[in-house]
Amino acid sequence: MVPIETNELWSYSMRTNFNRTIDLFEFFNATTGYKFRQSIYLNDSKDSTNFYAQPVHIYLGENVSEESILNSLDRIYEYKDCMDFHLNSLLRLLYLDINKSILSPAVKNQVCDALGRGKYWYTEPSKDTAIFYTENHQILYHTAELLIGQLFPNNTFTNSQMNGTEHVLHAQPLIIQWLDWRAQFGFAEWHSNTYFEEDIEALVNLVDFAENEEIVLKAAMILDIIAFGFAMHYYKDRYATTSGRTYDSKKVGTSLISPASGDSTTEAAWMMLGIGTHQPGDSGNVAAIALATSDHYAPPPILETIAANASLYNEHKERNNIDLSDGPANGISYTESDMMFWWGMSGYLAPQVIEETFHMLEKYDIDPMTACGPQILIDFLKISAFLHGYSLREYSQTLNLFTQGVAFEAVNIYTYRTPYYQLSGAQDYKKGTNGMQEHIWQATLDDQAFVYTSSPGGITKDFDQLYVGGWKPRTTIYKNVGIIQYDREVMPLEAEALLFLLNLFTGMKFYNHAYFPCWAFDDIQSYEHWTFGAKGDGYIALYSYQPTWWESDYELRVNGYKNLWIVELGSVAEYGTFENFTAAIRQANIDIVPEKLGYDVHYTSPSQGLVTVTWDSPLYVNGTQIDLGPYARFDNTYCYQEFASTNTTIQHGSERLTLDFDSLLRVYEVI
Amino acid sequence: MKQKPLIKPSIKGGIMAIIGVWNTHLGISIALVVPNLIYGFFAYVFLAMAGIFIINLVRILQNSSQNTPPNVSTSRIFRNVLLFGIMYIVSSTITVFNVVWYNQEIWIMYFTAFVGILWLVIGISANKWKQEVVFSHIMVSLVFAMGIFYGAISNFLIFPFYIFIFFFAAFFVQLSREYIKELPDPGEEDKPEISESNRILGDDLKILKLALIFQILGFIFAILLPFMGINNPIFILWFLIPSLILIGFASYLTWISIKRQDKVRRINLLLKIGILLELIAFFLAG
Repeated sequence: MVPIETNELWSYSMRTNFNRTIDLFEFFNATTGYKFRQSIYLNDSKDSTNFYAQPVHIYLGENVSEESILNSLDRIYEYKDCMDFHLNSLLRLLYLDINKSILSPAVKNQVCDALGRGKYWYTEPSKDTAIFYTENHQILYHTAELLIGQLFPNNTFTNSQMNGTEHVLHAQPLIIQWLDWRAQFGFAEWHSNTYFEEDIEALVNLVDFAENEEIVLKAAMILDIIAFGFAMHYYKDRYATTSGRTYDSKKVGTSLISPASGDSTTEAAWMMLGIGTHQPGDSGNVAAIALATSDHYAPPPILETIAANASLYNEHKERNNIDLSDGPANGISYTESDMMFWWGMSGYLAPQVIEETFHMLEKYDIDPMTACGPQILIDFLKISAFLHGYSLREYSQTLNLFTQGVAFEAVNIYTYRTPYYQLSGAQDYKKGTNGMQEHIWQATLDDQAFVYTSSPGGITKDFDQLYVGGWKPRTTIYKNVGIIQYDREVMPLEAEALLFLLNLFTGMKFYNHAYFPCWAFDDIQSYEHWTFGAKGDGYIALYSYQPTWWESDYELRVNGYKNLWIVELGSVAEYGTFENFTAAIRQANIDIVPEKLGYDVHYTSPSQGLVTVTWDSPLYVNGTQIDLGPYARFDNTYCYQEFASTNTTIQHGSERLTLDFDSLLRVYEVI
Repeated sequence: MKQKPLIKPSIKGGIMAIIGVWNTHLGISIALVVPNLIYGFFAYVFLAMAGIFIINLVRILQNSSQNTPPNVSTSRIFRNVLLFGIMYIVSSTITVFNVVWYNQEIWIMYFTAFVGILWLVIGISANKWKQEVVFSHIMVSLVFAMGIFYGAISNFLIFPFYIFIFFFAAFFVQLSREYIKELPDPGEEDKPEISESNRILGDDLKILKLALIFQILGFIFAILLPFMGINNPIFILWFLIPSLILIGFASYLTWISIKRQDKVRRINLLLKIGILLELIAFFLAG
């Protein structure tokens, strides 16, 4: 608990005269569908006592749940992790209330007191247990700082001893930098079905309330790009693609009565584009609430059209992020000025940045647990580096399966969709390295009938994620066929010892497995190495080189770290019956030779022909080399954008959307 | 005639096999390295035991006419031949299992066959040349040091050159110790006054000189290690330097013994600890 030296509330003078002249609707208005969905969400949330739903009450001019608002303040007073979630919702409340005056003076004073004593960035004094550094936290804190500064320009904040204007001046360049990084390089936490919810809330807050035109326009354009990503990857109400950060709970359903929970982005996708789903009871989704209560942001109509048009067939490639080694070539240094770029990628301990990371932890007295791990890990790395006679950078390099493995680097995403199924994955992404929350590939037949594999273990998030993170495979996908190889090299003795101890104390994880929820399929069949599933008119076949067994009704397990999985998808349109599909697959010629690392695979797919690949080689289909990357930023029917370009043009039929971050142009045209 | 100790040198050989695997693990799947560490250790322990039985066999053959009744001698010979065969078959079986089950390099099977033949050839040669004590020392050192080749080949047929340096460093220090062990420390009355080697090599002084040469060779090879491209050239120094100090001190004492023509105490102990530290250093090198 942060000590409050006086019982007096923070004295403030709130600014209420905001006269913005920025018109985001100069070029288009929200579609009727979007307005309709906004109204549905508002109506479904108006009676909620959930704290996050309170902006809806203000927006509709109705009374709020004061108790829920006051209860939310403790986290801010105590500088606890995720206080930025509360800060952004509270600020939305205050800004919306300016013209409504719903909040009672007592509640408003208490809220402003919490905000006045709040901590908005790690550089401010006082100890905290907050994570400021991940991609979503960065924009949430920057947004909070900007908006709080705008509200109280002349008041001095107790923790930072800065006034509001100074906070605005501090936050503005950081926000612009964050937005520019996303425009240029995409998202570190790519297609996160968890954290895009937070990003959207912060971005909508910026669009609605920021006074800086550059920030407003860029935030709106980033929202458009997120919506475009939804259109490209949502399939049958599921964000059915690879992801940089997700959780087991979003990807594992154990039975019909306990299915995988919906994506946190699904309400936002539904509202923005009419895809995804709306659950009337889900009244606390901060992204949906921000969108529903926004009078300034609406997705350009073309995105809704594309979402509908692409729902039956789509082949999409995109790239997010840069490699750590490519920083200087892209104007990103390894010094403090750009460290948030790398920390936002979870690149705390990677060779290029580890020394600066440790320097910054000391300089700002940052609790290492909120960044890269416990102090004992830092001590271990320093002592080990000394004993090896290495610099920290050199030593980090020897442990790069861990230290660099967990960083989100350049990811090339491929998605193939038909009316019956979607196969999506990160092509050849950091094979054999460890990860905390990555979800590498997924084959989807509907919102619950989806299949993927993982190899748990290592330093997964909180050490309790078994289906996301872990050891990354070499995934290579072409249309409806995927070859997924799990393997890894041996690390130095101390790293293997650490891993062994982790396994010992957090559950033995000497296996890899497939999530294959039998309960979600209409039919399941197994023949030797193959497991087949049918759902509706879509079919899936999953091959495992090593013998498998059903650990549960949804988990197909294999012993060891090394395995080869082959996935092939089919449908009634191609095979007629499920029996025909299984027969065709079973007759397929498969020649697999285990190698020093990975496998030498020759698989004659019934639909694609001969597919060959090894651990290091390109993927060949009928002798033709398949493009595994590096991809363009976007490459599909609707948009081609070179990576690192900041000019996005999305076109469909007579409609065109131009997002030009350099000229600050967001133009929707019907040609 | 005492039988050569069986378990200890064999386990030391198994440890060398582990060191061989560990020092060649880069670029190889953990799914191959871990079985090589486990099965490689046990396979080589049995292979080393087979080698020890050959030593005993040669010693029996060369001593039987003088000291042993013919029926006892035949029984001992038969038993050692049988045990050699069993150990060799067990080792080969473990090796084949590892290769087949885990898709390992097939070369390790050839190497196992080669080592079995090598033991026999050396044994037959030693028996023919009537130099069983020299043979015994060389063979014990070889059984110990060859483990590193077994480990390295189970990962790569073409293994890094530094594996040879490991081999020679271990081999020569162990060989030196085998000779030193032959000479009793002053005051140790239970040891024979005249060493077994002495009967062949002439006198204790000659043994000490040989031991010194092998110590120096072992020392030189060990000192080369950090410069041979191993994975952890500095990390190993934490154990290699103490090891070299002990081996160097043992050499000094051996030299003093030669000068005084009287063996100084504790040379064997210094070499023993020196080899232990050297093994730890070898392991850390990977």
